Amino acid sequence: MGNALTKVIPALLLDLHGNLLYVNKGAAGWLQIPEGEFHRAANVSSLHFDDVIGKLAGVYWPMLCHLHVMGRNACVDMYCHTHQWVKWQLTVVGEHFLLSGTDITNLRPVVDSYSLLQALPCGLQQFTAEGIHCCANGLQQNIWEEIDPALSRPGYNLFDEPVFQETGLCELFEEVLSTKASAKKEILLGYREHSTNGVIRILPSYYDATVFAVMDEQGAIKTLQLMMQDITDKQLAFRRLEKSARLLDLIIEHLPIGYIQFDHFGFVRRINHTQREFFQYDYDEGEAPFNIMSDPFSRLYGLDELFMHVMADNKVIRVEKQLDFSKDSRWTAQSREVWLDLTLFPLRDPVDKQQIVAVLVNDITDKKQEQQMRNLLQRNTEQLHLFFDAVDMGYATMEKDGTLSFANRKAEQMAGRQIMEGENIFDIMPELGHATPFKARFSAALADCVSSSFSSYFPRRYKWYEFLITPMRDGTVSVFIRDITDSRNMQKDLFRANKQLNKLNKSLVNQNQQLEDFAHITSHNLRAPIANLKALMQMHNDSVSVSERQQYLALLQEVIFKIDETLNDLVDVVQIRKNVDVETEPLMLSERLQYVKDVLFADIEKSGIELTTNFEHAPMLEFPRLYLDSILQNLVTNAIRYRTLEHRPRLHLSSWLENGYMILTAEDNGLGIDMERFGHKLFGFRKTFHKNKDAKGIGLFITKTQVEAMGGSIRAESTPGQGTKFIITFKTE
Amino acid sequence: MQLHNMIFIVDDDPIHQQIANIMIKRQGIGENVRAFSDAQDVLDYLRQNSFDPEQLPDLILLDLNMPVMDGWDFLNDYAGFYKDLAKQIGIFVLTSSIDDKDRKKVDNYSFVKGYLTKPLSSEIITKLQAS
Repeated sequence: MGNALTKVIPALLLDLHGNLLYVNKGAAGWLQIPEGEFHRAANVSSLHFDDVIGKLAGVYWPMLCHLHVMGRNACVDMYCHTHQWVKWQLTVVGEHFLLSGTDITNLRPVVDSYSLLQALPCGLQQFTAEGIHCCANGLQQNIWEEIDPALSRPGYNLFDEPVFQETGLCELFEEVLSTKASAKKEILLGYREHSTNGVIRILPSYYDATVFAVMDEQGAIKTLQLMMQDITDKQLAFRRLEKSARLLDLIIEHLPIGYIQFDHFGFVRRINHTQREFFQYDYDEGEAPFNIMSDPFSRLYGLDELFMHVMADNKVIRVEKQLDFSKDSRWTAQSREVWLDLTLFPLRDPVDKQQIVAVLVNDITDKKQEQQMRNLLQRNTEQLHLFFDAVDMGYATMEKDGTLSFANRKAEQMAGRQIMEGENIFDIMPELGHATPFKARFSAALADCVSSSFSSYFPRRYKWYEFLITPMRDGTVSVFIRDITDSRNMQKDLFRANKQLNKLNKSLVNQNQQLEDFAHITSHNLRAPIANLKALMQMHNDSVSVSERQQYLALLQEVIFKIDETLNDLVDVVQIRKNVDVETEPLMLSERLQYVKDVLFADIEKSGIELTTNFEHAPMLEFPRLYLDSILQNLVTNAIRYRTLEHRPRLHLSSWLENGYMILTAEDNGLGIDMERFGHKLFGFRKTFHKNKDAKGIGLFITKTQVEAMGGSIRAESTPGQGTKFIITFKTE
Repeated sequence: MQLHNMIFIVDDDPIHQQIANIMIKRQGIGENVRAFSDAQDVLDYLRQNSFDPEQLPDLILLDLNMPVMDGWDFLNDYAGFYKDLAKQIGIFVLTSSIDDKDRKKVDNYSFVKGYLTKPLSSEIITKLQAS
């Protein structure tokens, strides 16, 4: 039966010492030995249980026999090369032992403790209760290899190791020793080098250390187990995450714009620093949180609806809102009206997966105000332009290089075409460009930063323009242009009229003076003889004596003769003065003097006067011939009449041009006149200054009248005893 | 009747000199009438005889409008020395000018006793007598 059995069941036959006697085919396959009988004497190599099973199973022959003797189930489990677990059951067959093998692969637990230990994905190390190292699995040994290989050597006491003290591993052990419960701790064991892309980096080694005690039946600690798991990657990843979270936190906190985060229900969950500053609000933990959906202020401005929209549509909304913070006293100390640029965007909470809303708040009050100001300014500018269009004056604003930014309608009319912004004034009106008075003034006004006003004539346009160039504070230039052609012409006319009026006035003053002179002349020179007449008539009438009457009549005759003479003189003068428009003709001075010399031939001869002339510089004069003859005759007669007997009388006549006038002088060496005494009446009617019987005091009066009638003047210089010089100024136009 | 011993007529008009001479003598207000055509001659005479009241006139009839030296020149010169004269002389301006300016100008000379306008008449002579 045994043989029969052994044909089916893999089996071995052994002697009492454990030597193999027979191996059937099945057993031979599992144990990788030849099948058949083994004879100790014949066999060259005898096989023992310990060699083929004991060493693989860890249970040796004596132990197996011992179990059998003790009445226990003597069997041993072995893992064989076919990856099968085989249970060898010992039975006694006579004086031999039979080991029958059964495939228990399917009956065995998945792993045995040893391979479990080796296969553990974490390090495991066993210590005695005193802390002395017993054994460690492969992974644990590897861990220590990297840190300090000494730590996994037999007999090493962990409590003596400073590294363990430092890392807190000792504490963990002590804790377990005292509590007998397991304890766990994350430990930074040390640092290790890590090479990436040729760069060696030192990285920390984090381990999750768990210590637990194994107790005996009495509850005393038998061993201490240390389980270590490398959590460096996890730890590093966590740190990175933590760092990112912190960075994100910081970024949000210090965003240059406000950040408010609402939860799914509209409660404020977060307000960043900028926003807190903006609200000027100290958040009080104790206060009921703000809810955008229920707050009166947020509802007043429809912020609750905005929130709802974002939640419902799951879309970003960006709006500008004008809020009056003075209407809220609870959440902000701001009490002014502000403009906010709000960006509301939906987010999914990473933890509870609910939809939340974040709001970016940008204070754009200044920008808005600036914009409003700019709009106002723009409107004002437009109004100003409209106004400038209405004025009857060219107006243009331009850059320093002449690039126009505005030109009013009148300026366009002056330019003769429409002017577009950006055109250059010097291109539009070249007559204002290079080397023109305008350009010079323009440059000067810009250089000095002072307004410049001037007028300029444009011959091609037949126009007078008045300009005002004003450099503006903003670096531009304003130019005002006024057409003053009409006013200029009027000014010219006015000037002409004024000149005529002046002339007329002068003439009137002259005539008035002449009238006064006449009144004086008549008062003195006509009244005197008439008074004589009156007196003589009275005397004649009162007289009874014939001889007396005869005498009076003779005197009367004399007076009448005098009156006649005076009247004739006056008539001559009146004739001259009346003849203002007397005809003139070009006269040669030398010719007219010759004529006078001919007339006065006798007197000249008698006096022996020496007449010299110098008419070279002004030989001709446009003048009434009769007047010039009379003037020359008077000058010569005077020189003869008032000559001195001490030396030969001389008269020098000379003429030249001066300042558009012709000057004629007559210088004699005669008696001279005391100018201080008689100067004022030298040219008076019937004035004489010498006791000369020929003197009638009419010649110089006539001369003066004739000269003045033609717009000239006469004066005299004289020293008594040395001579007299008459200076006559003639108008040449 | 006050009698003026000596009367000077200063006038360049010879006819007026004759008329005055006749009228003064006929009215009998002066015994000794002397006529001057040139005012300078009068001034020279007065200066020469300033200490002799017998030789100084009581009255001078002065014309204004005269050649060489006129009445104004005479008055200006006379103003400088009349206080030194041994006798107070009555000076009357006798002129054909009816110009108000002349009349006002004469007022500036305090020593001129009156402004008379020609022709010389018996009424004027009576005025002279009263002075």
